[in-house]
Amino acid sequence: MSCRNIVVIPLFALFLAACGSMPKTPDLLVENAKGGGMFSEKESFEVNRPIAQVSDVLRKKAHECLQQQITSVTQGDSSGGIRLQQRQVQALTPKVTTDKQRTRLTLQVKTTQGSTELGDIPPDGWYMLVVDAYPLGASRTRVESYYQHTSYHGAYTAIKLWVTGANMGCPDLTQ
Amino acid sequence: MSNAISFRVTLLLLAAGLASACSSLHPYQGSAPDNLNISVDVRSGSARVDVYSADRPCDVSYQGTVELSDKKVKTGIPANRMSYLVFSFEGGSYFTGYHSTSAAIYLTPRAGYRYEAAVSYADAMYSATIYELDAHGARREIPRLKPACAAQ
Repeated sequence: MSCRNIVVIPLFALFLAACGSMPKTPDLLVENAKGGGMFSEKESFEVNRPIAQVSDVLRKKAHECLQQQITSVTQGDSSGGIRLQQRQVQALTPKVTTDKQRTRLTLQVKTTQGSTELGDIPPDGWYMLVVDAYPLGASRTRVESYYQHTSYHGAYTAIKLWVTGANMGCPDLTQ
Repeated sequence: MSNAISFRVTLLLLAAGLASACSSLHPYQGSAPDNLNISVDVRSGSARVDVYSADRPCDVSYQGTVELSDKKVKTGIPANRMSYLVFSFEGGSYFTGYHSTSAAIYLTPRAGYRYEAAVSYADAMYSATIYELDAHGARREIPRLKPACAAQ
């Protein structure tokens, strides 16, 4: 075995371990975050808006702002002085569902170009964010958020701004 | 080749690449009377709007670019024809890397109506919204429809 393989294999193993922690269902993400799982966070807050208004905002803005394809290009030098460039495309898919008890927004991420994800991946990718909104009487809503630490943290920040009405713009997820 | 020369060659190639990339964009010179007033509030980076004519959604043809470097910008979008406007926001530097994001809107201006766009970029949040105003000043937001081809 060459030195090169020795380096590659442990990195690959680490990558697989990281993938293993990526949630395949919204409930698994919520469970991880509630249990204090590594790389996951939870937060809850209340807003002075009725659930119908919060649901409308989530539906409208998720469709406008979160359904995206993100292209990232990284560059580096190889040991031979050759400049390397890697291009990766990830697709973000938001979904909003409403039932009698709550409105739920989920956001999935799937790498579509540039690398191959291994494992039993859901069709639209791993779950990186779940936001549940529950009615608190006629005019207040409780929002519970669960998310994985990813490079798309701006999505979570934007959702908070939308439901509070502080900023109705879209997050620049390329930053 | 020494490192210094190699660095200069890289810079030249980079400059040539940028020039070539920029040359694909040209100023929009529509013949339609000004009917779109754009208010610009961009706190970092730069913004522009690329104007496309659209025979139907997803079948678009580039017409030119309007730089959004002033706080108020006016331009003319042909009435009674579908256009596709792509508002782009770019920022970054050589050291931090460059980033670009965009918002697209289909607009079919109606004769006799005015259009106002509010474009902003601040704190990693962007917004591009177009409103239609009738002769009485009543306004409605032009919905941002996501064409089916966007998912392809």
